[in-house]
Amino acid sequence: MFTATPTDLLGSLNAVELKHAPPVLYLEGRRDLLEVGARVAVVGSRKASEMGLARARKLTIKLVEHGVVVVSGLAAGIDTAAHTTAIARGGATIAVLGTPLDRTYPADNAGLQRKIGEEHLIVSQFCPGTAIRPQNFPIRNRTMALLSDATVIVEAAEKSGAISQGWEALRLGRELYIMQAVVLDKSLSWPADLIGYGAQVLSDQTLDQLLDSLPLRGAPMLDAAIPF
Amino acid sequence: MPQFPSELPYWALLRYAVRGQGDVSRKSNAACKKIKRGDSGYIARVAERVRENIAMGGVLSPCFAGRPFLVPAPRSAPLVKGGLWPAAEICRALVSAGIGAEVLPCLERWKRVTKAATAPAQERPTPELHYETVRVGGRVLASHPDALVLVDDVVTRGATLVGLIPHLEEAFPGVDIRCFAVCRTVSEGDIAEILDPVEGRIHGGPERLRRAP
Repeated sequence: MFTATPTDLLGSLNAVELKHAPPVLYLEGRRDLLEVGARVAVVGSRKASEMGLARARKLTIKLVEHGVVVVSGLAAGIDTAAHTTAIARGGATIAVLGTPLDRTYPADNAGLQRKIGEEHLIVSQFCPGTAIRPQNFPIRNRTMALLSDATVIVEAAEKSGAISQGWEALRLGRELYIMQAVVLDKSLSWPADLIGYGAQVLSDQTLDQLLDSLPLRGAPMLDAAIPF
Repeated sequence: MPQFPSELPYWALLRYAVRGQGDVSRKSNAACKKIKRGDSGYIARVAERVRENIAMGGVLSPCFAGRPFLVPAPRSAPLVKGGLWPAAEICRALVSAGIGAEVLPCLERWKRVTKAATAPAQERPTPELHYETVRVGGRVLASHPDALVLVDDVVTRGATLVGLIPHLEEAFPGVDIRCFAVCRTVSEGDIAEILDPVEGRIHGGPERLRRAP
């Protein structure tokens, strides 16, 4: 395990980013995953539908094919589908935990957490030994939005933590996409609320738009010193 | 609907090659994304380049003459409370660099429009739509400014600038109003340099807008 501040990991932060940034992060695994490749958070319901899980897998495969690091929250459902698909496809993944590194929630994901920590990267803002508290999970969602260049909500019920991550992504000025199938679900009011503030609809037609919006990383000459 | 300007001068600092794949073009893409993301260090460098240009009597001097108030152009969607507003970040950095009197965030988007950067040409918002979806708000000024500069991060065709000018003319009658964008898009081909301060023109028309350069 090692510790770092968000500024250590992401470079200088603007005032909007600093507002909810945790003072310190506890990490295990490959720090380089925060330095190479764009990062997209794939998030959604713990009790996901089969179609939602299939969409999460399809999106993750596309992201991995384009060298994008897949970020999620190690929760059941959509998060687990995103992590496991990224690993299975040879991609890279980051788990941003709502627990400290020495705890796992849900317990069923202990093996997945261990594998991500050994071969990819796990991140938590909670000091080892901290108790697991429900209120820590939406706090974690803010941090996940900060660490990600874009967030995609695959599927979410009205009270889902994924929606709070969506609002935080918009506040940070990050790209926020919502799966088209969710937007078309007339029983949900939250997609229209987020779209009114700038969220985009993700479909086969707009996936390239999402990929084009991501920052160019991995080639130091592009990122470090832009000579003008 | 108000009268929109048929020809609008504007100033810009950088070029951004939208589709270019050359080395410099890709760097311009990265630069534009840093600005849109509110990268404070990078935006401070932008302000410093503007200051240098003005100090040597460069092309940007007339845009910022007379210590104007800087008005950030609204984003394409209403702002989440406390959310990032890149144009306002640019304005603050310019004032910190000694350019302009103060930031005047008096324009507010109340209804979302399509982003020009991601929309097909025929679906990009018109000046009329920009005008209809923005309102004037914010604090009342103690003193009337002599000049305003409407500041945006990127100018594509110029529809945002053309659409917002009538709001400022109505709110500040008789005040000299100018337009500045950090980046101007180059829609085709590659570029050889990113830094290229220019004064240009946006030509309005019943059918389409045209920006030169």
